[in-house]
Amino acid sequence: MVEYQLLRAHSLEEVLEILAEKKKVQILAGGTDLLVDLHQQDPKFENIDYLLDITDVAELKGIKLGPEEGEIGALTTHAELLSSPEIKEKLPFIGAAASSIGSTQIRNRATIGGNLVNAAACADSFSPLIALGAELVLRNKGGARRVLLEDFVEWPNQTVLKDNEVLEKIVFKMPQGEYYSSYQKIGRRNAVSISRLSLTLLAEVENEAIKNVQVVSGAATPAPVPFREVNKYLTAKTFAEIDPAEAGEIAADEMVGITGERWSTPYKRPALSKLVERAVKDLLEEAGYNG
Amino acid sequence: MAFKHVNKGVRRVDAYEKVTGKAKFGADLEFANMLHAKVLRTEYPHAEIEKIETAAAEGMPGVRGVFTAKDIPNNLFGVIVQDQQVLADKKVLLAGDGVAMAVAETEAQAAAALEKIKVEYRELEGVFDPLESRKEGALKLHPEKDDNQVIHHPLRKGDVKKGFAEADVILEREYTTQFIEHSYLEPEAVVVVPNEENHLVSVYGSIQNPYATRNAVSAVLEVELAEVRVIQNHIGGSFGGKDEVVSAMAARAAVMALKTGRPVKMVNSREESFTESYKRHPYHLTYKIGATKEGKLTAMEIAAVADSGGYACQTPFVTWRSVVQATGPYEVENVKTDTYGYYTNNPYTGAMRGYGSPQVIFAQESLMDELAAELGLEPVELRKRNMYSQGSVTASGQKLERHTVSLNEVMSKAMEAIDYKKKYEEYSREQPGDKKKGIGLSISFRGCSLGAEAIDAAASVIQINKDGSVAVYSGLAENGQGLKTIFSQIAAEVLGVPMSEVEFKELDTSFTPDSGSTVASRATLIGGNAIKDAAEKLKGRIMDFAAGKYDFKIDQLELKDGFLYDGQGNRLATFADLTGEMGNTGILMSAYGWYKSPPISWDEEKGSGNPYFTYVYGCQIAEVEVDTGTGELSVLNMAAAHDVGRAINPENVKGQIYGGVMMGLGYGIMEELEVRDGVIQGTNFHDYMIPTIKDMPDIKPVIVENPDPDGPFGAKSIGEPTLELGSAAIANAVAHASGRRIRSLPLNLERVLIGRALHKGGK
Ligand SMILES: Cc1cc2nc3c(=O)[nH]c(=O)nc-3n(C[C@H](O)[C@H](O)[C@H](O)COP(=O)(O)OP(=O)(O)OC[C@H]3O[C@@H](n4cnc5c(N)ncnc54)[C@H](O)[C@@H]3O)c2cc1C
Repeated sequence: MVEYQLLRAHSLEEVLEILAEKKKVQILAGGTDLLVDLHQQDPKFENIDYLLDITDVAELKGIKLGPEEGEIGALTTHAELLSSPEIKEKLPFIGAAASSIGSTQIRNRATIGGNLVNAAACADSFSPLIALGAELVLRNKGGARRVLLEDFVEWPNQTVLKDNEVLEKIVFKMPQGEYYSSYQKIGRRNAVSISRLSLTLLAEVENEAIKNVQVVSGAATPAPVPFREVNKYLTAKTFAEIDPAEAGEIAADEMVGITGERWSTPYKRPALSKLVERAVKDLLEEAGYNG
Repeated sequence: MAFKHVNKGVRRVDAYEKVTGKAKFGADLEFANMLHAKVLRTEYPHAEIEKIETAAAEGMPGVRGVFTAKDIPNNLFGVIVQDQQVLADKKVLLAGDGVAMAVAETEAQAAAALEKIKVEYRELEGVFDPLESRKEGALKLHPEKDDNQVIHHPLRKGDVKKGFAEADVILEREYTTQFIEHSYLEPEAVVVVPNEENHLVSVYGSIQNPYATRNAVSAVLEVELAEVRVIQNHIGGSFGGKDEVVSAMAARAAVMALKTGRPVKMVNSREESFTESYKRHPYHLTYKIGATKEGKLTAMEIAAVADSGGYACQTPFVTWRSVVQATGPYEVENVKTDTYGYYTNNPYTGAMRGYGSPQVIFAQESLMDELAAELGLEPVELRKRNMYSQGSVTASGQKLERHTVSLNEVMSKAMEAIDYKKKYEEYSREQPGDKKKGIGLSISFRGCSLGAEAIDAAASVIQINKDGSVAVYSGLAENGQGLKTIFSQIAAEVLGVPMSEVEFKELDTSFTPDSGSTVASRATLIGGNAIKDAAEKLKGRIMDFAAGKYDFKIDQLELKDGFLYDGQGNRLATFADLTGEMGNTGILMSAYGWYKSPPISWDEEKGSGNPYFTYVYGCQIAEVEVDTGTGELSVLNMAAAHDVGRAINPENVKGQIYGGVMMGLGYGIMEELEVRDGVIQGTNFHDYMIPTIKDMPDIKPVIVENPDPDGPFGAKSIGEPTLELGSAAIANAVAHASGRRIRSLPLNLERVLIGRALHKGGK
């Protein structure tokens, strides 16, 4: 039987105080990952004496999108993301990822911070945020540090977050000029469905050419990573030079290069190739190119 | 005929208790001084038990006893073949067999005790594929048997050699289906109370078939049936699933209740339920079909091999329904069908909604579309040229004449409901892009009730109290399908009382006569007739008495809305006053109802005869969109037309259709219990995918009514037919959309995209 004490913090200061003072504290946000592990008596709970409920901490909530920079509080729920008009207008791929998570009930509780810190290989918040080049603000009593989201996860379910740190917020530069995005997810059913594959594409364009692009894998690889070869292929190309199918092939090769041939590769290779092809096609179409 | 209560969508009689949370389910039951018990289950699919040490567990806090097979008076039970162990004795035959059980003051103490039980096993080689199990020289799993065969049902008609010689086109195809979990909302739960009201044991809980459970408990305890009482009321779903597994649970709890002299409660977690419960049979099917250029079927040769798992369970009857229905609803002169069941060391398989029909229909209705394509005919056209009509003769030689053969009607109504023709034409044309739409259909005939499996009869008791209130008891059990409501409607209709005067009572085996099991979509048909019989007996007495009292002829009198009328619209008395007076006069105001089905016949050697006394007909059509780039499959719309004889409660029939279509959709496109070397991979709904509300297509239910001469008010069956058709309709629609014919269930992402399934750890 797992035994622990439940603490509740009401301010960020209190959170940091408790984390500094006590050992073996596990933060509790929406609980949609943590309580499942608890129910299954996950052995990690042998090292936990306290659960620290942070859901009342107002400083950790909210979405702020400025002209240059944006930030999302760690406690922001997926439901809040998908219903935010600002997100919908400026960063629709984040809303699309949020809306694909779990079910209404899960989205109402589950937070973006929990999704990142839990760091499952199939977690859906990574690819859109990596595409944005997002950084995480990790804070302890002594101050804060910033970590590039790409560098945050060491391996599935293991991050660089320290015991005395809380994830405060996610910060990123807003895409500039003319930009297009797409988020795609394949699951085995239409809700409460773990990603088999997911993908974000975010591109800034200028004069019928790609200025900046990020194509980032979701569940295709053990940890979500940018497809560097695809990005290289697309960057600085004019629309006319781009072959979406080729971009798809490059991405599929890159994925297999990372994962090696696995039991699921015969499916994932053509499917991922198709997702990338579609994302690129959508981009060209939305950008008004009808080559 | 105008009905007052029947043929109306009246509110469910148990709705209020359920939506307000007042209804008590198995796990809610509490008794004074109650103990809790847990079962230790093996992880080995096949092993000899060398030693079980229980002393340490017995010494744990709160523990009141630890028991093994040697504590069970008679360790073998089974509805058909008595080969299932209450607790594994010398050998475990499947991963999930119980080997020991502990009873304690709390559930946590019982669970802790299990961890202290030491079992030493000698692992044995296992057999995990029925096609291996049937080979000569295969490892024998039940040493007392000649081989691993559980059952073989042959059916022979005409001469298939001759039939194939007459064919212009011959197709041979193989199809496979998967293990399926029932996925009832409520995991199994029982409480057994010892020495209550002159019964040795009383069994309460989540029980589908109270009489089968009573048989099992009395056999295991080696006591008379009269000493065992089973009481059933609310159940959180069953779908055929709460029979043997719950009987075993009840028998275990009964042994412990008697040993301790205290009530014993057992409640499975979802994981325990997945591990221990029986599943729907996976089938391996080979079909050979011959037809002329004109599309007339000349011969069919069918072999179906079912995986029975470690025990026989219901395999003999499940595969029997398959042998009767394997050709589908088509006239074929020459048929050779063989269905088999084989033991393996996989989870055991038993009754599940459909009962041997979903597997053969998936194969045979897929095959019809394949044949149509081969012949250059439209799927509907090929079916029309061969399907049963009034007076057709089935594969077993039965002439269909006692009831209306309505295949044409169900098919055309389903087609109309979903605008089939237009969509078929549209989707048959070249479609641009990766996303392709398609439409596909399947049709079936299905024998109602038990058929030649067993004697088919049911009882009821109706009691009219002195205040005119009516208590109704049935020997068949509410499984969530709406039986209480249907039976109350029938009683109210016959007696001419408002529904509010009818009280449906919980089933108690000590009180209501043995009516067999609530299976085979038989409750409305057989049980409904029994209710009608009791109600009519009472009505007869009331009319006799009233005719005498008011000096009318019986046919001038009418019972309606709780009053006696004179036929001119004048009220003569209230039902309550009239029946109260009868009671005071010494007239018996209770009646037993009984109904025994019309005769049937079956020659097991030839597979011929009249296996069922009536049939239902159904057609389902699926409209899908296939993403040929990713393998994603969406079922957009489904139409389901079912001839139910008469809908006693049309809303309830629709409910059955919605639910059955969804279960069939899950079977068709996503559900699969993965079993590797006998071990279930993933024992909860994280791994086992069932459809969510977001996967639900728009479903158009079409109720077709051709009253059956033998049904109560003409009613027949609906529960199982709704589930058996979907997978083939969807597979046909997918082939129509994408050109890819998938012959294995489920039609998951991998099969749709690359034509084969991939498994973790596989190559
Ligand atoms: C039925 C179901 C369906 C799901 N479907 C999806 C899905 O489709 N896609 C998907 O990606 N996920 C899914 N999930 C997983 C889960 O809902 C998400 O990962 C969710 O975002 C986790 O957030 P939470 O607030 O519930 O985290 P919690 O469970 O509260 O916490 C998760 C982990 O993060 C830590 N943590 C949380 N917040 C902070 C913080 N601010 N600072 C430091 N550490 C913190 C906790 O200590 C814990 O280790 C599903 C879960 C369930 C139960």
